[in-house]
Amino acid sequence: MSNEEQQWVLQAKRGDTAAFEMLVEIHAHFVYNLALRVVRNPQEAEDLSQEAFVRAWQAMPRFRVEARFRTWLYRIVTNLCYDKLPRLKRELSMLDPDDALELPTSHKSPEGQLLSKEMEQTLHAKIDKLPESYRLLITLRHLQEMSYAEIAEVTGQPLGTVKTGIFRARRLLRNAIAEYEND
Amino acid sequence: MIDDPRIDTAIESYDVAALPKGFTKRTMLRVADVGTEQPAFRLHFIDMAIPVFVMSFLATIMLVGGYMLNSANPFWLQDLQAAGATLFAEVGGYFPIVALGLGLIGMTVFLLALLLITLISSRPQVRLQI
Repeated sequence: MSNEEQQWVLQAKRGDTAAFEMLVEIHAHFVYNLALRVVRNPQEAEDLSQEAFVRAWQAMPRFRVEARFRTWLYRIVTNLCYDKLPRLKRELSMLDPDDALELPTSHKSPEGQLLSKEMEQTLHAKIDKLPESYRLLITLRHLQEMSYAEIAEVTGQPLGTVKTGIFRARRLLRNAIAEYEND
Repeated sequence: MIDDPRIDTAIESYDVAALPKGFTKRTMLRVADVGTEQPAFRLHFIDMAIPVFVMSFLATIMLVGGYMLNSANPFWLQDLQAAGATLFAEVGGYFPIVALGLGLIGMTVFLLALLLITLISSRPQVRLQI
């Protein structure tokens, strides 16, 4: 968290709506996309994102300044997603954390890894069909560059569960690539 | 390979939507309609310790003041008076003891004020700006 953001958090805690508006500006894009990727409906995603910010505002006085604001905010969004889609939490908690895992430590694609348009569309279609729980996990991992530990904190799931979910999502996408290449 | 970089590329290019126009404004309108939830009051050890200390401190000052003015004279003050008389005789009068006492009182009040300022600013439910 930058010093500027830290300052806005402190001011928002004291009831400064202008400071809170700055925090909304910073996080709105990701919060909206996170909600959209889970609920898949733009109107519902907007409602859910706004509700998350309203709840964050209401709870601001209770926010501990030593905690990370984005983790706290995304946890609110994730909890709202759980309320909206109760099966999402069930799916996550049913993942076996003991699955064999060989996850890459970095999630940044190297330069030059261009996909053909057709393969990209195939993979996007596959992502569309992934269970919401997998989409939630890979969104947190890729869109916001979160560590597995931070994702575990946001989702309220054990670290092993998070890693298993991301591993399985990637395995499904790898299978889609293999199928595409075999065709 | 589970770390196929094409997977990362596909996930990163997947459906990143632009924020709906006016999102922040609409959100802030909703925020303006609700208040914040003040944390429930919780009694901490310090909440008890400070009043007890302040009351003891004030009671001591009043008793010592009474003793010096001879208007309060419980049995234990008589002992204190006797001990004080011996001490004053040794140090050569009231003044050094009174000066020391006032200095200690001043320092205690100052430290107490610093402690209260720290406590007030660390309590999120307190809006007072110091």
